[in-house]
Amino acid sequence: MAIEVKHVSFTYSPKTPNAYEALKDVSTCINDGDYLTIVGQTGSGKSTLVQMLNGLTMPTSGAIFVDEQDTKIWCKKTKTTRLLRKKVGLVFQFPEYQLFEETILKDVAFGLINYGMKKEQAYEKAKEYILKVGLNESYFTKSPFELSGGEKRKVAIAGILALEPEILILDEPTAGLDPKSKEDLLNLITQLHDEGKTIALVTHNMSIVRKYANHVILIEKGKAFFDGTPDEFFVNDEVCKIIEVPEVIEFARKLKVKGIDIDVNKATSVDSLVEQIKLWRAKDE
Amino acid sequence: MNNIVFGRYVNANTFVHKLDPRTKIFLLVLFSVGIFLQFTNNMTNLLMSCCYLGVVFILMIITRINILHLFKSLSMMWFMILFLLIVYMLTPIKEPNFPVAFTIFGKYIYWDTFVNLGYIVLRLMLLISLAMILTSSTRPMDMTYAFEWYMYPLKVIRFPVHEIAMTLSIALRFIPTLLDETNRIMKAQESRGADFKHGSLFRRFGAIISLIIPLFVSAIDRSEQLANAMEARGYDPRAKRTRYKVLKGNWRDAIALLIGLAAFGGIIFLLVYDHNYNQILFF
Repeated sequence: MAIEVKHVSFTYSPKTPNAYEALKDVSTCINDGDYLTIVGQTGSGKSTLVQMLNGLTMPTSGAIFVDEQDTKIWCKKTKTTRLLRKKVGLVFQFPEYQLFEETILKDVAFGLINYGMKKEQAYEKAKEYILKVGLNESYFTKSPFELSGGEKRKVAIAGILALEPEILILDEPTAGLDPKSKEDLLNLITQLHDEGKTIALVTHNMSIVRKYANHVILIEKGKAFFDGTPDEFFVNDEVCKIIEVPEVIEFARKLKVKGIDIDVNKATSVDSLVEQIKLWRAKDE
Repeated sequence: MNNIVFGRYVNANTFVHKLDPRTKIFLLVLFSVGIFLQFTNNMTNLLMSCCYLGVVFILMIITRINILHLFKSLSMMWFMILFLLIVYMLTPIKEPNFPVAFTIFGKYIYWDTFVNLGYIVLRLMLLISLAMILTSSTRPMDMTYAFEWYMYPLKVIRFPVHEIAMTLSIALRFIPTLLDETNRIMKAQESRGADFKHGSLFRRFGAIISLIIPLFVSAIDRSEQLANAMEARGYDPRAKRTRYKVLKGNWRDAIALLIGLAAFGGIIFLLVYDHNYNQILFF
């Protein structure tokens, strides 16, 4: 078990008139090798939750255990804090706004050098990961400020990937990207997952949940409304009232309500839906 | 971050909150002038300062500001106090009223130095608490409207009053936004191993650069977007415009102005009397 979240609550500016409870008694666990998606409406507390996973914020009550050790203990010393941040890599929402160095190479190596790697080694590693996110050698010496939005995002993600975290957390990595970049990014994440990394992804996109995830948490008004597999997720009526179900799945669900007995979980695309309907017909006749 | 909370607008429904911002600014200026008026006699000065302190306390109670904030302001001033102390110690005193406190390098340090320092600190504290009363009882936007109103006469010499008021209100509006942004970038860099709190000075400097550059970039981006959005809606600084919010004085302002002016008149009278006869009636 990589990360365990135990009865976590979080309140912004506690004990003031502006106090706001972002998370209420959330419990879950992220297993090694999981492809977790965290879904929920804007302002439901998803980002707050992921910022706690690498000890950037501490829960107001409850605790988070990374490798069976409380994040509060991890963050007691500077040295162990660094270990935790290196183990659990967090890519923020709109990470392109954190770029600052003169060249992309330097920016990607920034984290590595912070974690105590020698400069030459860090640059070597940075090069490797810039290539890995799909940018070529000509980018090494470019300034991050002359890139397009999608390229900036790739550079920022490379900066975290280069740290080689065991658990990679991404906060809405595909928000505002064009379809091509979106697909590239999702393929990269899948590739990383196949290489054995644990992935936690915050997203609004239910197709990602359907296509890639093996574990999904729905956070609604600060509470963990649902915690389980995508298969259970898309057949849960309560859940489907809250989320925006992909059209194909919505269609399959409606067919099922009308008495056409098909497996909603297998209808992930138009083709597979047609397949299901054909199966049903064959059975019916 | 806690220092920023100091003097921030606190929503309440008190007499001071309901005053017109123009009245409040006028009275603030009047009060500040009063604080720095110098009487001939030390005892009189002290007595007057105590009176001012009393008034400030009463204002703070009316405005529902925690009086402890006043002492917090003092703790923020310690560096300035130290600096002033050094300057005062280096300044020779011609006619000391008090005995010698001690000597350094054969130079006499009179108690006068400390008395004067005490006065200046007390006066600064009074000024700070007055400013705090103003800012925590007036919405920033109302304050800019009031500034614009006061600067209005400068339009005669083609001073861009409206533009400056607009710039000011935009700047005020974006303080919380930029604070949020700072917080976000700090966290993002912290998860890349930047450390703002520990480590050598050199390392911390590097961390701060990683905060400042993205912050500037996003602030400039934002300002460009805002400018474009304003242009797109046909904003023209020279155009005549009506106001959504019109400042209007009422009986409260009349009362406050009357009290303020009467008190100020009294102080001026005492001052003139004091300087003519070298003493006030009761000393």
